[in-house]
Amino acid sequence: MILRTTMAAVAATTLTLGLSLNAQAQEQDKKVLTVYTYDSFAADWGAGPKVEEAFEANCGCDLKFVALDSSVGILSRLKLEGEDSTADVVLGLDTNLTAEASATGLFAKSNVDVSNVDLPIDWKDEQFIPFDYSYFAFVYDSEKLANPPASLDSLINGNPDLKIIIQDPRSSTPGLGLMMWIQNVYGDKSADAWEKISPKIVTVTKGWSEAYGLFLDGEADMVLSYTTSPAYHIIAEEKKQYKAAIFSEGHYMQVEVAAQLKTAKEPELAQEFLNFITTSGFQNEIPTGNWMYPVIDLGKDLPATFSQLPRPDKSLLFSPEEVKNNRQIWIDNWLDSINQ
Amino acid sequence: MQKPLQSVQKWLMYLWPGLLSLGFIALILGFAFNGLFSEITNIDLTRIFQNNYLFRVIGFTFFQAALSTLLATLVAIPVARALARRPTLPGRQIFVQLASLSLIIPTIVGVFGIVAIHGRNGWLNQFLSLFDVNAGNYLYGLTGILIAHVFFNAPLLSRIFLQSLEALPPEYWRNTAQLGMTGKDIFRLIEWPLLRRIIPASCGLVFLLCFTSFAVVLALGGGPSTNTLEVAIYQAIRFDFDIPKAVILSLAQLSLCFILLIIGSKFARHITLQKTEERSIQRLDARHTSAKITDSLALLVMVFLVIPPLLATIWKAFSPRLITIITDEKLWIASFNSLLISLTAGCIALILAIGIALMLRSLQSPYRLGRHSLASSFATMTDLSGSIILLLPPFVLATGLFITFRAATSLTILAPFLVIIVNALMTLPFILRILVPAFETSAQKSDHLCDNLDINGLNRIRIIDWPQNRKALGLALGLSVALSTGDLSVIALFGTQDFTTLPLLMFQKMGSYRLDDAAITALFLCLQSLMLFIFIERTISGKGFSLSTLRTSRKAMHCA
Repeated sequence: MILRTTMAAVAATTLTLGLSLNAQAQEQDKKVLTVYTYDSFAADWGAGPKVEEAFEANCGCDLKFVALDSSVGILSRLKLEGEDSTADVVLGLDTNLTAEASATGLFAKSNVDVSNVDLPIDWKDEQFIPFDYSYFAFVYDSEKLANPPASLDSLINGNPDLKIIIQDPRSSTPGLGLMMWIQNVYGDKSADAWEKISPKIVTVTKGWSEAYGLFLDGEADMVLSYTTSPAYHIIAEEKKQYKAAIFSEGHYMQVEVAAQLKTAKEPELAQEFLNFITTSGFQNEIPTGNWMYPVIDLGKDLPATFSQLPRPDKSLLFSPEEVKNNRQIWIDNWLDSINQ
Repeated sequence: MQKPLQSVQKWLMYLWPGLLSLGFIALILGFAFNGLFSEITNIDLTRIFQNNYLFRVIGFTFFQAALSTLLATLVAIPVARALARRPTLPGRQIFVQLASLSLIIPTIVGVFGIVAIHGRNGWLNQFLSLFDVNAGNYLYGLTGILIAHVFFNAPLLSRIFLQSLEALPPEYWRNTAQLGMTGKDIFRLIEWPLLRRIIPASCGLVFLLCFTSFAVVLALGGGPSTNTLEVAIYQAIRFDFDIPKAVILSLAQLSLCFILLIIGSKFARHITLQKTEERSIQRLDARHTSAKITDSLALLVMVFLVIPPLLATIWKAFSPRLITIITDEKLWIASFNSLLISLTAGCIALILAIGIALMLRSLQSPYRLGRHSLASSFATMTDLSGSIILLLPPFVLATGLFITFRAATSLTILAPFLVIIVNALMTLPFILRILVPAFETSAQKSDHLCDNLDINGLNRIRIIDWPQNRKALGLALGLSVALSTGDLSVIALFGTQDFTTLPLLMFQKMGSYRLDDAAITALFLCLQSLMLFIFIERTISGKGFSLSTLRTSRKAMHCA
């Protein structure tokens, strides 16, 4: 009896495994471009599906997004897989990670002409190309929170009852961005700042989506997101009460990037996709899909809401090399001083 | 005096199944460590040990595990007492069965239900807001971890305690009635001395489960200050890809728990996770008013702790999106993957466990090798190594295996196999606890008889071993399959949207905060796990699916 059950199970397993492998083989007739990205980009409601449609219209290929649970998770997955990775292109790292990523030696030169790129900073990177940017900010519901803090300092030292949700700098680029922001403003005194802010943190989430969902469900007063996030509520939901608090110290900037892997199985397709990123076909989907600023001038295609959003007076950014040399130390210090 | 050669032959004859199993496990572990150490080029020990974080994590892991175990025990003892002295309580049967299922309910589903009850907008706060009270946000952090750990472990413990209390001879209760002993006296003189003997082993198990808790802490921990070692290991691999750090953290976890195991094994008794037999005993102390009050309180606490999260999950699942999700291809693919993985992992675990259990029965039975001096120490070692698997972080194991084999093929192809192998190893300790005692009892009962009647080989398996042990085998395979169905560990590391299982799909939906969808997935996952368990357990134990078992037990109760 037991032998029969076991045999039946083994037979069933082999059969189904065979079937599923066979099914995979049939799909592979078309060339497949595999792009690693983070969950909210590839989600049904993200920019991913529209970008996929736009790119597939011309390439005669199958663009496949592999969604990883967080943005920093993309880099660690690549380190895990090494040269055997199935990814052709990576989309969703940011300037805080480019130096560390390129030190792995896994990335190829981009060969993309970035002269039409319109960023608040000069772009010189040879491997990574920008695909969107914005500024980190705390988003709040103005109907529930009448007097949001006007500076990082008053967020940290002000109203002790204020509750915030942030992301983990080890897993998510917004979380990493906030760590850089505080590092940039407070320098050696960052540890103190984190200790003071700890009691206000409801929870530290792994990725952006979870944090934002918790905030919308009323679990906190403010959530770490972007200055462009309110555009989503204005355009998609016609709700005007969600606002980003503008801080007087300035805001840390995020430039999200993409690059091709040296080991790409479809290097030509990958190149085609990288070229596509800086064209309007891709960039048009960014404002209302990823809710960030596009990296080229879209003219009147940029929704008016975006030009009405408040921009910070001062933008802050460490160079990739500075981040690379210090990220691990800063994260260790963060782990040490955060204690909510 | 035996000749040495004969003795070796005899050992081999008895031990080959176990040696095969152990060899296979050793091979897997060898591959894993080979992979890990090939990745470690330089270890910066100072960076890891200078950081207070590591020590804080270890401290917190101990603290929460100890507190969780204590709370679970404090809840479980009065519940077990209440149930033991009230064999005819309405709903008791259902409660006892629910309690034995607490191992089978996938952790992530339990966590989801707890959020639905205790979250800021959960049922409890909604109920309190009727009276203008706001309990606020107490869930994320230590409170949440404790609630979840008690939710999972208090029923398990009360089940074990109840079983031992019911095993006490009925004469005890006649004597206590004759002597006019109060409930307090009975607890002091009869119940507590018994519980004290089983508490070290059963609470030790719960402590280890809480110590290595992963999904609960990941979902409810709320940040680095409430990380356990297991989560820190996951983060070291998943976030930083810092293999040396992960290895060192794992070694810390292993050695700490090993010390605890050694201490615990001094008090160890076998725990059997088998079904309780129903029997009716008149307990006069149950009629006291004070006893009625304490028992109702205990049962109420348990019911309010365990039932609402499950109800909330079911309630939330019946949302307008039910049809959309149920007809979603992704759900069915994930369900199919889960089915394949759990069945394969369950079978592998069962085969490995049978080997080890056969070996242990030969080592411990005095009629076979038990009298040999080496045998008992060998048995203890094997027994311990079963528990050690529980302490090995699955992520480290899976990462090590992946690194060893990554050059040969891609992650997409390797991932299912890694999940299967690691799941099989992870459920091994649980099913060993079922099989080993069952095999031992059956061997003690039948060894002499079989030798006298010269029944051996296949005949013995067919006539003696299979009928005697099929109940235990069914329970073991059912449990192992159900455990792998609900497992969220290795899959959290290697899953993508192309390769999901039900727990991962649910975790992804929780991660993107689609709670309605998560609830439906949760219900689906729960049903799959339960149905598999019931189907496998019933089929192999030969119980069939009728209500006859229930009827027989009722009959037995009436006769008594």
